[in-house]
Amino acid sequence: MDLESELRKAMAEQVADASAPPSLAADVKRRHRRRATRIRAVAGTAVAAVAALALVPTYQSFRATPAAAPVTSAPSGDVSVSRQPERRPVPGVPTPPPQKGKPGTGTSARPPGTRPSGEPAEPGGSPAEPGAPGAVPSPPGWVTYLPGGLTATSPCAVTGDTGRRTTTCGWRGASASVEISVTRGSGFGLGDLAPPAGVPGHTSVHGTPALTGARPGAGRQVAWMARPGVGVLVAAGGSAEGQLLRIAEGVRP
Amino acid sequence: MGRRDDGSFVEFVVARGDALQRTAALLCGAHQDAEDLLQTALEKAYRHWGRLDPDSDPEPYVRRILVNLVISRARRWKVIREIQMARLPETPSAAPHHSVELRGTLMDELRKLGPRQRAVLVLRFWEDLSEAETAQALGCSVGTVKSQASRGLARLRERLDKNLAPLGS
Repeated sequence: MDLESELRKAMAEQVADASAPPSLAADVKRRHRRRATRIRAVAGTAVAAVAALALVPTYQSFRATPAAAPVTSAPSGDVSVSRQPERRPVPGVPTPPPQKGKPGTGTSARPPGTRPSGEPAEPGGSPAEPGAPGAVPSPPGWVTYLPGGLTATSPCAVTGDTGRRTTTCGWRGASASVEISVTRGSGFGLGDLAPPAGVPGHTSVHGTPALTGARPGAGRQVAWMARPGVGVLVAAGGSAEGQLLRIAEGVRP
Repeated sequence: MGRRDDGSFVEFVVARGDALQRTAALLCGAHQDAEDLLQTALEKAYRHWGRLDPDSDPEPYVRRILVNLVISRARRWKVIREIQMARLPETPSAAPHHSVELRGTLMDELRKLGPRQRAVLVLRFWEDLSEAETAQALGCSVGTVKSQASRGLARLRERLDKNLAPLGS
């Protein structure tokens, strides 16, 4: 028996009725198109995923700023300080080396005897002295947002010693109150700023971990360490409670 | 130098489709698988069709893709292939048409060979390729083709002797 010739015949018999379908070329092209579409879809999805992953941190960083910046420039009747060219120094704050925009320093330095443009002249031709009756201190430069209808209850007060100094400013309105304290120094942490009443909640301000909770007495508060050695406590009561985090975002110690 | 276009691809498929379909059927052992395999091979060739030399015959290229696909698929789907190829043991009986029985048994035994050995036998005895051409299609040496063909034939002969002994061959 010649195996090779038998194998040839067997193969010929086996595939005698086999033939390619008439639409083979079209089927191949369709398969090729499907493959190309699938590859494009996968590539598009991958690009979109990468773009989304890259944009989320960018969006987060943008989202943190509007809490303070746009509001302070809007003419909504809020106490806006960021657009004022110059401000009256916060009265009653005994901080000898004035630093522009730092807590406890009030506002920018101004040559003695000069008056900022747009400020009305005091009756009698003399400028109102800091702390004088009737004078309304402007918020310090590091507070960029406050709800409308609030006025300073008193000039910002500085307490403590050289090791730890706390600047506290308060504002009060018909149905709301806000108090902001900035503590500078060393040897303290977030828990030392002002423990909230009840169970504290966790949030973030400017991307920094913050503790929030009920303020002992009334209202709500949020505290965070702006940077090592600088702690901030913001408390809001009344109708300002709802804007606590917005006020906090506007504090730039 | 010109480039191959879509039209030449369609012409090639129309002219050589049947032959490639038969080769694919012998290589993989099942007609349905052969259709799918041939489409896949042609699609792979179609991706690079424009880059093929217009003066050369594209069939060896397509055949090589086909053989590679069969071998890789056999590796990946070994279990499935074995289930597909499984046959109930047949009780040998004295058949009136001995040659028909012999060829059926031959094909059964061919399917049971490994994909590479089967490809060597199909290319050598169905496509009538030389040892060098077979080696080129398989991407191996001529010596490998010779040894694979020899072992494949010996295995077929051995199994045929065993299976066809009751038939009085």
